[in-house]
Amino acid sequence: MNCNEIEIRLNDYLDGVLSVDESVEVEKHLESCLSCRGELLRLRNLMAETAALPKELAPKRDLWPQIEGRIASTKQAASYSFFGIRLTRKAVTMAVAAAVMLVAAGIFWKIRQSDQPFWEVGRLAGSPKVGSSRLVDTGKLRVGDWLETDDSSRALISVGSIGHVEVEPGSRVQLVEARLTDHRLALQKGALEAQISAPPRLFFVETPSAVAVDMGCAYRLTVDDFGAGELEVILGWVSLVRNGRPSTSLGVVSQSNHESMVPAGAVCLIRPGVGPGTPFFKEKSLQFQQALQKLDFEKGGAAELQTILAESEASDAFTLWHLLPRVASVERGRLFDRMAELMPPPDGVTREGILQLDAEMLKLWKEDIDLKTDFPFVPQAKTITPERSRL
Amino acid sequence: MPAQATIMEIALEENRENPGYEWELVRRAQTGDRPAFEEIYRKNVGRVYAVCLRICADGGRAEELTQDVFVLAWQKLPTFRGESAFFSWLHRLAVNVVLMEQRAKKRRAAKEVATDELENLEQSGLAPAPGGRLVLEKAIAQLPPQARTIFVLHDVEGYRHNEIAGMLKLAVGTCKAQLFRARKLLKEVLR
Repeated sequence: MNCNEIEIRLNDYLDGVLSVDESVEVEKHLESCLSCRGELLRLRNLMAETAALPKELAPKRDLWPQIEGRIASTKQAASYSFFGIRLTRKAVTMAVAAAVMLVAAGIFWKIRQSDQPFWEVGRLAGSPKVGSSRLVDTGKLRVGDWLETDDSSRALISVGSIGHVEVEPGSRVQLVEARLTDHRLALQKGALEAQISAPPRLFFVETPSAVAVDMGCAYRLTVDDFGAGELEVILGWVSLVRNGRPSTSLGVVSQSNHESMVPAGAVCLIRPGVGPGTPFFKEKSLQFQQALQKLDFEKGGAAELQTILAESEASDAFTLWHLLPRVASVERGRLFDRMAELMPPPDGVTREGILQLDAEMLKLWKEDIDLKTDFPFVPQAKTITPERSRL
Repeated sequence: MPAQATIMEIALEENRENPGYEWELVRRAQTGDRPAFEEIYRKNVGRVYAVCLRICADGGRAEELTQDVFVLAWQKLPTFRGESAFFSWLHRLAVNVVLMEQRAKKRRAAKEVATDELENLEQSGLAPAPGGRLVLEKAIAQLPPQARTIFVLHDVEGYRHNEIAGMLKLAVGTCKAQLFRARKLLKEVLR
């Protein structure tokens, strides 16, 4: 692949719409091509600047007087109240028509039921259940259905045409959405392993603590009986969001939505009422992990931060970056200084700016960290075999 | 609210902040309460005007479109039943109004109006912007219309290619190609 082709691919790469194989191909080229790395940086800068544009702009004059004049002579769409529910005239007409249709449609109810969106599900071991029915070989998981596995059961769900999810023993999973633009499961408890090959933000797993948003990757997600859990990313990136969706495709933490971007090789804990913690490489020492856990979920403070900083290496810069807005402001200077030792900030990023959590500087530094950190790409988990994926 | 928040986040934030109050305003406006609608206008005009201005790149026209959006919102308000966050509904209405205007303009084959958008952005009453932002706003305003529309919807407003393709009645591939073109032009301007 030459540089011209890469330039086109870089857009898709940053938008996260390349397959894993294509992304790896782009990354290989980037490793050996300074010019394309520069192009990537320019594109990232543009996207960061764009993301930082204000969402509100004030018109030069107050428009209300003219709007008020116009609406004074404008009728609102008529509406009717039916048991407290507001209905427009059009809605009333449609409701009458719908009632007639309903009678006819009742005849075909079973046919309609069979047309509901579903994903195929297959038994891998034991006796998984879909609703109250035992799964003998393969079956259909319809929107709203629950799939349950006991201690000796496992099942494989085919996620539309974009991937597979293996549901491990002791799990309870619901199919929430099965649309082309929204493939969504809920993991109430247990564990699942997902392998997805699709543009980012098409596959979601809701848990009681956070939503895992697929960015084109493979990962394992566990949830215990209390709704707490852990995400381990095997390939690519996963965004963990407390509520809803990630803020941008750049992997920038939005504090209002409490988002953590978790790279391959890293782990991130989730807790009900808190959301995602800070991601870290799973090889980190127990001391490091315990300190991080206290900081994230147990009101840890200066002592825990000291442990983390002492144990950090350059490859932990992404972990420390996530901590910047999460630690008390009096500790942020210490955190900055250690980060600067491990991974000096790029041009345009200053100590003062970071201490004030300047959004643009945070983004720039994150991009620089992502470029310089060697995130592992080699899958370490078991791979779904063709036999198991034949659904 | 962080500067990079998407429409979805704004909607979520809005709901978290005060869903009861927002809903009460909407409910009152649905029954013809104009002071309530004025409050809705005051709260949302900045966001609506921003999307109108960035897509049409003409300050005067953006003001007219913003008025159209709120008049249409007033008319259609009784049909809003709270299935989505109110701002999501209003934002989609605004995008539709601007895109309809763009299509009508294209049909008339009118020459693009010389814009006063740059002056407008400079005098928009915003806090002083970091050096790069105004340059970027100007560069976006100077993009070809279709590339600009797609860039604003995708990179600024957070819509996805399939959504934009649906709104503009374009193939997803065309949408991507126009976004690529827009980004390439902007990179050159900002280089």
